[in-house]
Amino acid sequence: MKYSGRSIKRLYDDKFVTGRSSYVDDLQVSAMHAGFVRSPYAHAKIKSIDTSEALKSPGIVAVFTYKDFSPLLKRGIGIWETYEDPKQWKFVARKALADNKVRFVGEPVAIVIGSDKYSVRDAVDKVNVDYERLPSAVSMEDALKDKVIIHEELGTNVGFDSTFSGGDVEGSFKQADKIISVEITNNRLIPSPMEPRGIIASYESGTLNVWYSTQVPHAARSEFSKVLGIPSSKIRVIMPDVGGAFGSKVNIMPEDLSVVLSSIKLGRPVKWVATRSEEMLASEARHNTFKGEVAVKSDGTVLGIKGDLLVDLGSYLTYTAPLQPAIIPLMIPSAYRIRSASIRSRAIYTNTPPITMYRGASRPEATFIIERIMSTVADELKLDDVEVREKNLVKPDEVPYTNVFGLKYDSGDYISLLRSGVNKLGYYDMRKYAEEERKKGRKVGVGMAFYLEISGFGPWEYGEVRVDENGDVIVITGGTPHGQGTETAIAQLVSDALQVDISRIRIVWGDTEIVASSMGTYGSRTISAAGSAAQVAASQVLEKMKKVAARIMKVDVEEVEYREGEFINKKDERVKVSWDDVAKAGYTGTDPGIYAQVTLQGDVTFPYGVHVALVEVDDYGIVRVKEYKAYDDIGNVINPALAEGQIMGGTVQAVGQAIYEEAIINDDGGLAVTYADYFIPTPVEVPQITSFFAEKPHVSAYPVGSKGVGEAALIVGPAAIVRAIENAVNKPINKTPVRPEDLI
Amino acid sequence: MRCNMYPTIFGLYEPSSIYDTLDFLDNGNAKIIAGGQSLIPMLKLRVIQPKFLVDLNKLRGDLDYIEDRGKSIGLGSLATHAKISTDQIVKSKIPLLSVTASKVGDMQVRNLGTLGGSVSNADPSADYPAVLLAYDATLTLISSGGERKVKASEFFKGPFSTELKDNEILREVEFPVLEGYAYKYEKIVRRAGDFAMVGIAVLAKVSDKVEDLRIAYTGVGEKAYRPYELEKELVGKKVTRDDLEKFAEKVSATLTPPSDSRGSSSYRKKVAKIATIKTLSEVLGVVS
Ligand SMILES: Cc1cc2nc3c(=O)[nH]c(=O)nc-3n(C[C@H](O)[C@H](O)[C@H](O)COP(=O)(O)OP(=O)(O)OC[C@H]3O[C@@H](n4cnc5c(N)ncnc54)[C@H](O)[C@@H]3O)c2cc1C
Repeated sequence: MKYSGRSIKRLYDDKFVTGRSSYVDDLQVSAMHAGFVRSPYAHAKIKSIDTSEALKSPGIVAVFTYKDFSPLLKRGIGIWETYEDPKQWKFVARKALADNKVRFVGEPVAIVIGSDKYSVRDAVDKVNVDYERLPSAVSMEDALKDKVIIHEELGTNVGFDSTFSGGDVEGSFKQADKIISVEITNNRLIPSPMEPRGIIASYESGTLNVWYSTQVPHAARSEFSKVLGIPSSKIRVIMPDVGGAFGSKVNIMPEDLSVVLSSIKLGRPVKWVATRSEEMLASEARHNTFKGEVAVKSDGTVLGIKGDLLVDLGSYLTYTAPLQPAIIPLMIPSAYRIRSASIRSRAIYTNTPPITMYRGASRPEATFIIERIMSTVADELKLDDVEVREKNLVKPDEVPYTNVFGLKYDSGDYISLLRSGVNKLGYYDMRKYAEEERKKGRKVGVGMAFYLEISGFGPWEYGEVRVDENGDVIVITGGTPHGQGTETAIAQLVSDALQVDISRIRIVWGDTEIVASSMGTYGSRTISAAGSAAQVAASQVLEKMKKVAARIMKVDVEEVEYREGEFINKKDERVKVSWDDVAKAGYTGTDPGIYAQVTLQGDVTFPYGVHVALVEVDDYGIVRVKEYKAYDDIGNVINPALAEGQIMGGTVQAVGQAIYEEAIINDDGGLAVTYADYFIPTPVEVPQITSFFAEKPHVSAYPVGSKGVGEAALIVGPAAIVRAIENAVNKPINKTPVRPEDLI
Repeated sequence: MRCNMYPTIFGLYEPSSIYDTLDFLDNGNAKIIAGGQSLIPMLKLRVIQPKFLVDLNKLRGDLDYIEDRGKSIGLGSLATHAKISTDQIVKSKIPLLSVTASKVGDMQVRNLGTLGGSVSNADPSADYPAVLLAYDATLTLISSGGERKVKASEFFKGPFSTELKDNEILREVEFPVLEGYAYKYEKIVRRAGDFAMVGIAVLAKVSDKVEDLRIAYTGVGEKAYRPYELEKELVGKKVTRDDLEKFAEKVSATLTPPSDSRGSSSYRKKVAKIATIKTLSEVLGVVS
């Protein structure tokens, strides 16, 4: 029986359900503990650091500052050059600890190493840092003035400034029946994985071992190598169980680097696991504003968009932050036939905690912007939401379609999906219901939003399949699942390719010395990229098995057919050998061994869909998202339950972004919230979620034909929910999160 | 900077009796730990750094009683939120306390957190203080020097500040049984399990007119607040919607709520006003 396409139960969940998984903090390594002295100021000169009192504190072995580490550094932490172009950026590669200046509240200034975390915490208070406070630029508006310069070397706070243009924008605005102004904002978020980040580093005889809560062990190895000048071959990065990441654990932190450096200096293992409040500072996300104008015909046709996008970077450029300002503009045209656009995208340094990528990275921002534009156009022209979108969507015969900025969409039928989605989700019935309820005095609203996203992200992924002498299968994948359950889907694909029972397959990942090479899990790419690589490796392994079978049956390999565990002589079907016998024979005679390694190239691919939300707003302006429905074309669906799980998780975070979560930064640049009032939705806030996938999907060019679903609901959800709130309260809203006080 | 999680070193004392506890407290520099639901976070944030914790949980058997005394109900300070919310005596005799207890935090917090801990902690957004004010409850404080009784209206001093001295513990809260009162606790939160943005506790005796009215607020100032004078304006009357709007407007004007991530001061005032009208019309049976 085929496994693909079925909701196979997740394979390795028992340990999570029974609390036996092992995260970095659970590993039994006799390591010293690290803690950080952090800046209380958003911007200040470091005049001196006195570590003498801390060193006298019981249990303390060392206190290191920038001066101790700088001789060991070849350079600072770079950016993710697989996807990001350093030439487009003004940035100073971030060192392990603050040099002569601190640039945000919470920036690590010194690392304290001791025998246990309590002693370390006590000693942190005893490190005396003499600061001279400097004026700070906390908001993007302030930073843009360049009165306060955060990195003197750069001479400006603008890290990226690029105008994305295509088509005849001026002409469009001349032809327009109406020009509509928009201002659209996503406030700052915090990704908040359940497991905070953590690292154990051990340096012995020239070899560095790192146990790391990461989603990119190979990228981390390569970055550590470049920063430390230790060859990659002498660095091993192991990813234990990782308790969530949402993109934030692609980021390589100065704290991580400090721990590695400390282990090198001390010649003994050092460990650091972030506290929750450290995790809140470790990665923050979104924080962007778009101001622009839209040229429209009175029938709703969008002729052109021009505008200014400002993206906050926080005080340093992180490994993953360059993605957003570069991809948001490209994705603003979405699946709409917008033939002229000019968007100036600027990324700004501010005296706030650094920004990283977070689930969707750039597509939630772009989708919120374009969907707000479409809804605003509908309102201004008194048109229906669906109608406006349908009018502007790219027609099926235009796909593959190259958007105004040159981005090529691979496959899809956007209009049909919109029509069947609206139908299947019962959008118009829901609208009618909401209207009836509003007549009775309840503030109920329904909103929809469409999205086209970019996923897969090439450039390649790794897959290896080994069949041992007993016929059991080990799959080594370059994917790095950390909660998604993609390992199960990969096992399904390999089971089908080899026609063996799924219980005989084991999936392994996340260790640079076991996995030859890897990109990792992010960008909704794992099933497409890693699944395909594993599938191709499986088919190669099967070819090898056929050769062995041919040898046993003494026939030509062309005459061998493989069916459900048996290699059959096509000419005489009575002659056959079993899978197990072939596996055993594969380790005798000439050319022993049954393995295949594949590094499969890939490209971007474009899933799309329509989502609908139903909300109710109470007398106090408090919103509840009551229903959330999704209809997506994500290409082939390998495991519907896993895919639906991604829609659910994304929805919960979309609810968070739309109405609850806000990383408020106070005027002094400090993060003003803790997890007591940074409101992550609890199960009580989770709506009724319904998810459908297109019955006739449009596949990607990846061998498995899937496109990706990991981020979809968080990409489009905030737009759908905000639209529903507008419908409920009959008032325009152009930002996330919507706070109760915005509504009464 | 906030990388807190680990408390400073402290000693843990497990007393064998309440007198033992009181003697220990006389030595100073010690904090009581009951459910730990507020104390542990404060220790981790290093907001407090006591030398000793005195664990009252060893005395739970003596101090978590719920006693029906006919005209009043006495609750030992160690009664948990969960126990209070499910206890039949509380449910039938002092129902406003029962419903309020069921709305404190989430289930884990209710299973561990105690009445005495919450009341002694006097968080300006905690739920119980408003209820204590509405009932005009009496608190029994005890030290090695003896016992004293304090009215709720005198007990709460300000944010995290009460009549309790360092060497005193709260032993009991006593609630009068108010027969024939309608009641409601309206708690406005942005997210389940959170502290109140605004909380309103109402007890009212209504015939064809309002015989008695007690309304108390939490989350809207430095401590729970009961507008004694304004309450009187509604007593002895057949209250109309118009009366309620005026009343709510006046109450709201006297409030000085904080601005924080849950909501700005002006928003909280609006909420307090809307909630007052909504809650009172329900409790007093005013049709709009
Ligand atoms: C996630 C979360 C959500 C919460 N939500 C709410 C909410 O919605 N509403 C609400 O009201 N509260 C809420 N709380 C607080 C909760 O109600 C606490 O239980 C309560 O505030 C403290 O009770 P405790 O028994 O845990 O006391 P502890 O934390 O042990 O002690 C609190 C303080 O009181 C002192 N103390 C304790 N007992 C006595 C005593 N008998 N005599 C003298 N001093 C004493 C301690 O020394 C300490 O200073 C929440 C807490 C958490 C962690």
